[in-house]
Amino acid sequence: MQILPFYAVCDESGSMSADIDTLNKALFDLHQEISTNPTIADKTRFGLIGFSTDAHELQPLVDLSDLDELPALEASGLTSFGNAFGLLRQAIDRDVQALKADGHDVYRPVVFFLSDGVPTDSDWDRPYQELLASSFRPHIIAFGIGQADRSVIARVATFKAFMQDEGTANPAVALREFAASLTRSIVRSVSGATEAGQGMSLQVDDHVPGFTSVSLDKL
Amino acid sequence: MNAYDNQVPGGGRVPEPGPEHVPSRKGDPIDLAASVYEHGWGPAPAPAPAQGEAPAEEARVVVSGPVVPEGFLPRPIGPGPSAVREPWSADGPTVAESVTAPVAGPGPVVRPPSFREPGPLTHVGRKAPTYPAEPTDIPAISGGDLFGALLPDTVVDGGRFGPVTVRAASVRGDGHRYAAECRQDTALVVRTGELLLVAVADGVGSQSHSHHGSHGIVRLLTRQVARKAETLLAFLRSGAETDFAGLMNRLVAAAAGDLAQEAERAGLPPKSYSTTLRALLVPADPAVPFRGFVSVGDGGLLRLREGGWQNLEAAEGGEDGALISTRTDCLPEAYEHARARLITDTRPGDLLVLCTDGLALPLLKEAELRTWLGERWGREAPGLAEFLWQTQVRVRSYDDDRSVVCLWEAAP
Repeated sequence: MQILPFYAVCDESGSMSADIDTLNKALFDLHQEISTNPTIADKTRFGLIGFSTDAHELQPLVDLSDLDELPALEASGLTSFGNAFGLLRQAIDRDVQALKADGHDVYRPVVFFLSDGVPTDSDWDRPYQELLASSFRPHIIAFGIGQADRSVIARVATFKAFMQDEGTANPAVALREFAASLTRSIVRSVSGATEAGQGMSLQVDDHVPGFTSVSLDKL
Repeated sequence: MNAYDNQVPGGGRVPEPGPEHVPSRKGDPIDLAASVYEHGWGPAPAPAPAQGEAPAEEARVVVSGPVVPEGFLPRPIGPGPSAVREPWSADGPTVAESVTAPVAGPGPVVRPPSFREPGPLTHVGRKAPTYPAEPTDIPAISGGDLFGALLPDTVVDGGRFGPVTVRAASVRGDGHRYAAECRQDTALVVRTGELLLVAVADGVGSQSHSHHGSHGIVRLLTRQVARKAETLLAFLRSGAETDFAGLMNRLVAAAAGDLAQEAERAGLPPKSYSTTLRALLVPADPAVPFRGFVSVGDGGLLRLREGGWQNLEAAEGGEDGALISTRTDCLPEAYEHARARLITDTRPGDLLVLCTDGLALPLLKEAELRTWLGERWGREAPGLAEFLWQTQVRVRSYDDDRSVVCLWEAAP
């Protein structure tokens, strides 16, 4: 099979307590929605990492059609971006190698990073750079929730960054649509001779309902 | 054993399509389906026996035996002891039951279930794709692109030429069907004099008008090849590979130039027409064993010989390091040169499979698919409907358009 590893990395620190129910509802709906969207469901494996003071693989990479429900996030503790990126790198390395060993072709992994964007560890850039330097460096799309720091969200993203609009009750539908658009773009062929070496060439809609796109170039 | 005698473990039959009896327009499977539906009946009844003549044996259900012509599996044509339940319609009425069912009185029209011929699409692998197996939304005219909206979901073609029997199909992938987008692939079968040109092309998915590119490049290449058919034929006869490769590169470049001009005349950048291309040239003379091959970009050329698959493009895969790369060379601009060569070791009985990456990738990666298709294609060439059904075998995660041309070399 051709498989796109898809990770949701979610902030469940104490500062997210006001938004954690919304985020859980969003993850629940996202699971329901994308597991029935064949564009995503047939090609992707989904993993969930929660992070606060530490990071945990709440759901190891799985075929969503084999999963009844996702574990819930629980808000507590600090906001260690460094632990999140470190665990994410380990998970990606392990998962991609396992998929390839099983005979699958693997697309470059995609990460949805959702946070209120206030890291409490000052040295998170090192594990972040190690993640980007790894063999299976993922595409990272960062979503700022609640009172997220726009500049931090933009810094984490390698491809797109979005800030949640005030009053957006449930971003699940928006995330699903974005995930479908992103998946289609990733698997579509691109002309190689002209675009090789130019890095990302994904074409996705910049408009995610309920979110405002954050330009990475200006920050 | 013919293509319809495909036994499965347990003694059942693989649900293959039966022989096509309903008149249809060549290359238009949508009309074919409509025709079958209008008749409410797939195969037409067998001709009535002449007076005093015993009913033909073929009019009964006979699944084997010397009276059944090769490749022919008669279906029951009416009530009586011969009407049996086919294994692929176990949930529905027998043919005889549905034909003789009483007509309901006034009320909503309830249509009987279809006969499921040539049978529901099947899949290989642990799970079937999540996508619907058949097309749903019909592509609308988008941005004034009448050409894209007019492209049929599926085309099928075929014929005989010199030593080869040709079957070709181009089928819109699940992904494009689900998004109500048009087919970006195309397949071509054309003859110019004593030369057969078959080709497939795959419009690059990231480009807006790549379906114009794929359909355009095979048309424009045909024009170029037709102008030099005699020369190409001479190179094939003499096995002059260097000359062949040089000329094919010039012809592909000329076709690419024409394609770029078409894009510009349409007010679009040539890049928006980006497409791959794969073509084979076959001389009519069965004494000439050489086949010409040319390609730009990803896709596949495979050979099925004595039940075993061979990848004739082993060094040209699309892997970029450890992960899948979707980058590909493409016409009209993003390529350096076409890869052109002769296939010099063709044997009678070989099958050459020329395909876009929609089929090449699963065929190269999925052993179960190679086995499935190998069992079916390692025989006499199937009928068009059967070939189309086989081409559409489903494999989860492979949802791209598929285009394929198969050349069955005459058996010894």
